Amino acid sequence: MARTPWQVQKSVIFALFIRELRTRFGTYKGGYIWLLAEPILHIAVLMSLRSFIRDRSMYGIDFPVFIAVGVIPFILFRNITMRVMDGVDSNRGLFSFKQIKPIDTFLARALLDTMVSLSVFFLLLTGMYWFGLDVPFRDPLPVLAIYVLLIFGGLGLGMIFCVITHYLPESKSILRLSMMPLYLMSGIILPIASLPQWLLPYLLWNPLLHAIEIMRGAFFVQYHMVQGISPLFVVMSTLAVLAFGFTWYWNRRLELLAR
Amino acid sequence: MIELRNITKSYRLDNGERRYIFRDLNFTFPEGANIGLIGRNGAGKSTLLRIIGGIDTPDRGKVVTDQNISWPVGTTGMQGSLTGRDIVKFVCRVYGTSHEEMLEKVRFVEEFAELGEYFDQPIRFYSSGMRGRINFGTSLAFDFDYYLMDEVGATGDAAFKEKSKRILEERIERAHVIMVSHNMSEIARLCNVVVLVQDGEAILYEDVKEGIAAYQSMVKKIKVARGEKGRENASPAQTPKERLEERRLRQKKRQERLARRPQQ
Repeated sequence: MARTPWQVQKSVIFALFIRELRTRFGTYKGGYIWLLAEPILHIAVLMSLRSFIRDRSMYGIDFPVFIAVGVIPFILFRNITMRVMDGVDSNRGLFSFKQIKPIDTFLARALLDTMVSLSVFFLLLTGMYWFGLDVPFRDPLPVLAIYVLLIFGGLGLGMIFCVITHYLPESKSILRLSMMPLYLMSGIILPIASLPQWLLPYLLWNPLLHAIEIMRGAFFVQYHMVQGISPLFVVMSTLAVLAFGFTWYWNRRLELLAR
Repeated sequence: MIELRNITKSYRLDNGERRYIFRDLNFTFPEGANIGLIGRNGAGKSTLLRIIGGIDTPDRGKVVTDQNISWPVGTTGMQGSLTGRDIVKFVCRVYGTSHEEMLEKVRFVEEFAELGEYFDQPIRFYSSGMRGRINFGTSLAFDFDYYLMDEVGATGDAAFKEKSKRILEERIERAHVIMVSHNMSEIARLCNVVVLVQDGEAILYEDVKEGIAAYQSMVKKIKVARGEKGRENASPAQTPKERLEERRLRQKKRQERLARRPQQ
């Protein structure tokens, strides 16, 4: 009967994972289709702006591929952050099971979003390849590393947001909106190299920009990463955010549960 | 054995003040008894129940137990888009049951709840009575040494009430309950001992009647101190809900009497 804490946590995360899966796209079978809708729509909208960007600095890179490689990881980061932020509030009823702790809901949600993102990434790029676009999956290691860093970064930032919104529920919408400027400043649409030079030193404070640039560099041979892109900066800021988020959550975990 | 050791529990109010519910509470629950927790609203009965169940964490101190204690009966953290079946499966997964056990428990709840095709419909289509059936059934599908019940009145129609009462009484023969209730007749029916929770203390009464009497005289004293006149007929321990129920019962009896009259 007695299970080790690790066994308990494993079964709890599995239970929560299935539950998230069911609540998010469970009730009707077509639900899974919508997963692909967001990135595809995204790319479609940006395609319509294509002529505007086209001849700037694309070096013959296929634009949809360029966008997909940036936008899908970004959506993953944003989704994990937002879902972890809401993790405690939207699962309140579940904490009447002593086995279930907030961290389990965070991990289950992050896990689901990761799997969703990886499948979308794979499906979309395969689809593009099939349609005759050039998908140069050149260097898998940095891609994998960036994915892992984005997952943990999202978890960390999500936990920070979760604690903030517990004490300041009004801040939820602001934090949600803050993802928009972050999107614009991370070079998702425009290659960073095409922006004015004087902006660059400021933009480089954003670790997400580094992550997306490294991602693109890992795909396209022709892509020239901006000066000053540092993998170490991504690693360090991810670790810092994760450590801070987790300690803050851990110190406040009992208060998060108190109503 | 369930033992509370030096339990201190406080809450911080919105104005920053700290309110202590228990300070260094030591208490040993009697072995093998059905325990009723009674006390006034806000005395800390539910908090105590949640601490025993490991859902709420005390500021200091701990609960020492070798017993298998349930989650509070009647809560399963339902979410609108899940079906009744999903809920049962979810709880099974949390408890890490084997696949066979899961099937067995799902079948148990399905039969117990008698929801027919609704068992596979999202809960947002359920009435509150139907939700109650799933919640109660899921708790009963698991074998615990102690079932925690916080104001769980039997829900549903007469036939279902009768059934849940029967199954609960059956279960109590091999397991126990720790219940919070303001319904003294329910406490008297199900419990062997009562614990009066009052001013951060827990007082054990081995005799249920004595415990209920102590509680009622305490409530009376408070009322007298407030200068309220207790109504002669109503027992002072009644909550407004119980009073309402009693009034309904009186009305029903009167209607029955009226209905009988013309036939005579």
